[in-house]
Amino acid sequence: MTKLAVKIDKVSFKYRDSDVFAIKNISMDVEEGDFVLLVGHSGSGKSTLLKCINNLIPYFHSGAYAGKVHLLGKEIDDTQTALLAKQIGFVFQNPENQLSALTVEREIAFPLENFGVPREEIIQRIEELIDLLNLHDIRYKSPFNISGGEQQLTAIAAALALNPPILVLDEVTANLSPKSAQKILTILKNLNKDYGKTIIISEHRLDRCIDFVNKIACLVNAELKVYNETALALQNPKYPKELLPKIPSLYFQLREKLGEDVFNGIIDEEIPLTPATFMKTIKLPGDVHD
Amino acid sequence: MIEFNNVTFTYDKNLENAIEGLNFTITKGEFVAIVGNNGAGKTTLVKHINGLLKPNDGSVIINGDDIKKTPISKMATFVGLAFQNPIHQLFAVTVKKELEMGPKNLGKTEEERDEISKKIAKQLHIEHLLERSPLELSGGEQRLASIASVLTMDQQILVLDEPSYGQDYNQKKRLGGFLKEMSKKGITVVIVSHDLNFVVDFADRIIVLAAGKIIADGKKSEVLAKEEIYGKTDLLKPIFLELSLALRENDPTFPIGFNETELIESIMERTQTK
Repeated sequence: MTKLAVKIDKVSFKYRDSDVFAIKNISMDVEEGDFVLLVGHSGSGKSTLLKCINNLIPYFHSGAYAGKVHLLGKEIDDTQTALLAKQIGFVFQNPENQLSALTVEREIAFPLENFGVPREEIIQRIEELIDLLNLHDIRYKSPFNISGGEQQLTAIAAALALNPPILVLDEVTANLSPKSAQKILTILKNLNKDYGKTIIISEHRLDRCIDFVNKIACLVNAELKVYNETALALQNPKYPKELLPKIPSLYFQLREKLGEDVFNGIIDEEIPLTPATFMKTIKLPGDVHD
Repeated sequence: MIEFNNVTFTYDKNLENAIEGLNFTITKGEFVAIVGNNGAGKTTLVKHINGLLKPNDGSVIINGDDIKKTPISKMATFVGLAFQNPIHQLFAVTVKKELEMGPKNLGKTEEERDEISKKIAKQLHIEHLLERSPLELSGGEQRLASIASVLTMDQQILVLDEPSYGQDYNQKKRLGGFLKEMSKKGITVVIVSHDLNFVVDFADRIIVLAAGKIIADGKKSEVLAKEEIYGKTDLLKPIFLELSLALRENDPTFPIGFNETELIESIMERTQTK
C-alpha cells in the first residue's frame, strides 16, 4: 500500500482582518510519489492552501485557522520547524523572496550548514545538485545577478539541498519566458519520475505540465471542488470548463459538436492531453496513412 | 499612426545597440503584438512610441509629430503607456485616486473624474478594487489597475507592456476582448508580450524582435507559421498550431489553425465530407 505524504484534514483559514474564507474545509490525501497540479482562478485559495502544508499558515501569516495537516504520518503541529525543513522543500513565485547568499553554491550550502552537515558532505551535495540542475555556468555568480529562470533553478536547488521527499512550488514559472518555464517543468517531471519526489504545484501553464502530473486538485471560491486522477478530474462535471487545458478542451468540444456516433468513429475513448496524444487518438478521413 | 524610420538606440555607446535599424508603420486601429526574448529590445522600442526615449539615429513619427521635436507633455495627450512593472506607475492612496490622476492632469472637474474612473473600472471589472490601496493588490490586479489608469485619458494610441502577465484565464479573456473592442473603435493598440496564446487570440499583427532587430513582421498567421522565429527566440509554438502542423503530416491539405474554433471547424469539415 502506498503511504501518505501529505494529509490535509478539514483545513479552513481566514486571513487576519478578513471576513471571508481564503480556503474552506479542505481535505485531500497526497500519496508518496504523487505529482499534484493545483488549479483555480486568481484568488481561489491556491497559495493559501500550499502555505498550510509547511506551516507558513498559521505560524507566519496569522488568522483564523482550523483543521490539521499530517506530513508522512505525523501531525505538523507536533513537528519541529527544523524537521519540517527536511521533509518539505518550498519554492515561491518570486525567487528573490528566498535567495540570500553571495553565490549560487553558497545558497545551496546554506540549509546544509544550518543543520551542521559535515563539510565534505556539503561539498558532495553541492556537486550533485549542480550536476542535477545543470548550474555549472552560474555556480560562482551572485543569485541576484542571474536571469529569472536561473534564480528559480537556484531556489529549487536550495530547496532540494536537504533532500526532502516532498516539494511544494507556488507558480514558480509565472515570471519566466516560455522556454525557461518549460525547462523548470521538465526538471520537476524528472525529480518526480526518477527520484520519486512527491510534488505539489500551482501553475497557470496547464498545457505544459498536464501530461506528467498524475492528479489534479481544483479550487473554486476557496473550496476544493474536484480532486482526482488527471483524466477523471478533467471529466468531472464540476471541473470548470475555462480551466481545461487546451487539448482536452478541444476533445470535449468535438464530442459535443460531432455527436457520439461520428465522434466515436474518429476519436478513441481516452482523453488526449497533448498534441502528440491527440494525434494517436484521432483518425480523420483523408489521412495519408489510411 | 506610428512610423519608425531606421530607428537605432543605445543606452551606452560602449554597449551594443538595444534596437537597430527598425522600420515599420502601424496604422490607426491596428492591434499589434511585439514579441521576442528578454533583452531583445521590446521595451526600448515601445518607450520610443511616447517619446520617453528618443532615437540616436533615424526618426519616430507619431500622428505626424517627430518625437524628437515634440514635448513629452504633448505626447502624453495621445499616447498612453502602461509599464511592465505596475509598481513603477502606481502611487496613489487608492485605486480610485490612481484612476483620477490622469483626468485631473488633463483639467477634468471632480464630477467628470468620478464618472471616468467608475466607467473604466466597470469596463475592466475592477470596481471592487476602487477603494483599496494599489500596493496591497495581487500582481494581476495591479496590472489591471495600471492599465485602467492609462485608459482614463482617452488616448488614440495605447501601449501596454506585458498586459496579460499574472492574469488568470477569465481576466485575460476580458482584457483581450476589451482591447480588441478598442482597436475596432479606431484606437491603435500595441502590446509587448511573451504570451503567444494571448497574442494569438487577440492581436492582428506580430512583430518579432531578436537582438534588437526585426526578424519577422506581418499578419499573425504568417508570422507564427515561420519555423525560424522559434529557433531564434525563447517563444514556444501555440498548442493549436503544434496540433494543426501534426495533423498536416497525415493530411497535407489540413489547414494551419491557431485557436480552438479554427481546429474544430477544420476537423468537422473533414468528418462531413467522408
